[in-house]
Amino acid sequence: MSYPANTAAAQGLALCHVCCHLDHVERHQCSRCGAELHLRHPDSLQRTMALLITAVILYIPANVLPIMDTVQLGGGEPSTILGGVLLLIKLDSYPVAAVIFIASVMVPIAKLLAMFYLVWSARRRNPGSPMQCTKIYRMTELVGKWSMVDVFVVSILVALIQLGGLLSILPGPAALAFAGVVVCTMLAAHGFDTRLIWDRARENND
Amino acid sequence: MTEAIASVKPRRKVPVIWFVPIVAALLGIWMVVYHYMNEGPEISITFNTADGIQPGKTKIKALSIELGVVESVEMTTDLNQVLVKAKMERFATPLLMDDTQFWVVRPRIGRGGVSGLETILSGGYIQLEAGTGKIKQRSFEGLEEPPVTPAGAPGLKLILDSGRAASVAAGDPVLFRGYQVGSVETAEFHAKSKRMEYSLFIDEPYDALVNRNTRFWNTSGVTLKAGADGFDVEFGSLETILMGGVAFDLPQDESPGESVQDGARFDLFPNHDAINQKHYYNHVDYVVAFEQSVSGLKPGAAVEYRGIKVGTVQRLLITEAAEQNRGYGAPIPVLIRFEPARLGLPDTPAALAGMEKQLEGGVAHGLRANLKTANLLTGEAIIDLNFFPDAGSAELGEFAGYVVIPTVKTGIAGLEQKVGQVLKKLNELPLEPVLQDLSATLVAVRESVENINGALTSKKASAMTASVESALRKLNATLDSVAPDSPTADSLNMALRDLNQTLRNIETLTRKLSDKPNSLIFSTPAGADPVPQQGGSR
Repeated sequence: MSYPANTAAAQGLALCHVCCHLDHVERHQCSRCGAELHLRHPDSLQRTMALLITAVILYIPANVLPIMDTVQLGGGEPSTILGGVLLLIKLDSYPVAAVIFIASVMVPIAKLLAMFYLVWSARRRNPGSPMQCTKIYRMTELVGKWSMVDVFVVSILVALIQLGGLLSILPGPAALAFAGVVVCTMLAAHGFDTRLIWDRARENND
Repeated sequence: MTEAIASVKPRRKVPVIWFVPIVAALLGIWMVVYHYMNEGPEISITFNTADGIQPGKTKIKALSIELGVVESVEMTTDLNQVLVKAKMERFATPLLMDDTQFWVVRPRIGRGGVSGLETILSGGYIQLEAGTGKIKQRSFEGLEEPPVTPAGAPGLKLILDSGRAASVAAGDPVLFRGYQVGSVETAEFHAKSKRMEYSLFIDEPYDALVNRNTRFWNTSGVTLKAGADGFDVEFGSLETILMGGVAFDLPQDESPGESVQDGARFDLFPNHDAINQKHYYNHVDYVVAFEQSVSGLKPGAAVEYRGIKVGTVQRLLITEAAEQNRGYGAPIPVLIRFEPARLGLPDTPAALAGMEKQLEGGVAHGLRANLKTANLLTGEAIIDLNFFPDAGSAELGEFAGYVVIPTVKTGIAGLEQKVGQVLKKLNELPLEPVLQDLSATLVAVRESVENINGALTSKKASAMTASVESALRKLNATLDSVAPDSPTADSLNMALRDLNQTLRNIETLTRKLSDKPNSLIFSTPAGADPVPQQGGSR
């Protein structure tokens, strides 16, 4: 792979991932901190892909299993994410239903789709605009901060509402799965080397 | 110096990161497989009503542990019942046997108290009560009411048989000496046999109290009984007064019989007394025929031997007497039953034979039956056997195939008879001749008195009185001569005084002589004159 002459990579220089020291790639190890030197994140796309697939797998139990178990006067009532949304719609609490739906359903799915698109475009022969891809990536990063909102709500409710047999809320197995989805997508986004987008674009331009 | 040789490893084609999705996928697959492997059975229960059952919400519980959840509620094909389908947990599978019971727990206010209050807020649930069955079953018939005793509870199931519908209902207590040891499970009336059948459950360990000789009676309410032995009020605990119940115990003086199995049948006696009456196996029937009124004599009345109950009156043999047509005023035959066991004799044929022999011998020596009024208030009569030495010897008779014991009339009836006899005898006395004799005698007496009167008024009599008068006067003069102030009396007094003095002197003399017989010869020596001393005598 060749790099444009006006880049550090073209001159055999790479940034240390750990201490951000610019060093010669041939050294393989950072002369300052000893960390391994790479021009790009190694197996970046593979890692992102693997984590995304994990997130997809985890997304199934996160929606099928109950996320929260409301024990009310001795009678437990487990509810799934979509079940909760439907219940809120039935109770005419549309804003809350919308918030939950966006935070718990739309955002993770959007994030997953966006990441898949980025990975796909980083690999394909003639990708779309690198600018557009970068925008998608930025949005993913932005939204990703809020994708834990669901898990956050559940953990707060579980911590606050513990009135014994009268009313208590217990976390369901889906909460864990959902947290897994969020963590996996965040790691995937983090592991994705955005420079690959531009690498590919340059290659195509050459 | 050795050259540093870098060990060059080829890069792995597949990065380690791919283990993450593989592990996740494997976990997911394993969860799915686990879920299906641990999926409990699906059961169906039929109820009469779906009240309180909500699909997806109503739980099936046992011991307050969730065993399953209702998935759907629909009507049965005949549209008469509700078919509840429920998904059970896998661990609940061993509980789903042929005798497992299901019922919906709802708030209930019944005879046994208030139950299921917690379901007011949380909604009803279906209670599962496991039994001891061994046959797997997946479709059940739900109970409308909670069962009185849980299926498979240790204890004894009994069936009571009663000719009348006593005030005993399902759920009533079964008492042993006032303590609840079980409960009535069901009370059914069988139209065919026209009998009530109660099924009872005696809890462990009280089931050991029940044996073949145990008798059950109805303790419901209050029993007021007026019998030959007075009034008798009987009631159990307040609970049984309000709700009724069944009690059991051994009859008096009865030893426990062999133990009984599940489903043993017993009779339900109407009251406590009844259990002590009906258990003599050896008995002999006799007939006593009364010429008097048998008023107050009822079947069941006591037959006593000198106050000890030996049997009961069975019935009046009116039909048999009518058949024999023994004429007007024929005695009324009464069938009585002797039970030697009542006397404390063993309940054996041998004891019975002995008693029969005794009776026969007794009759020859004056043993008779008689009717006694035992209770003047109610007029209840009993039959008493006693020895009447005056009755003389008699033999046992025979009537309609029964041995007849001779009777005497006693009591008020006997008294009446005796008074009647006395009056009759009085009536029969020969009073007329006696009265005639008496009047003749009186006439003679009168004549004698008249004769005496005549004699007294005659002249002879007056002369006689005059001479008597003179004789009396003479006697008076003689008596006057010895009056206290007459000279005769004075001299007589003097003489007597002298005599007295002489006699006293003789007394001293004789005393002296007896003390000292020689004093006639020797004079008594005179003692020293007493000298008064200073300070008085010592």
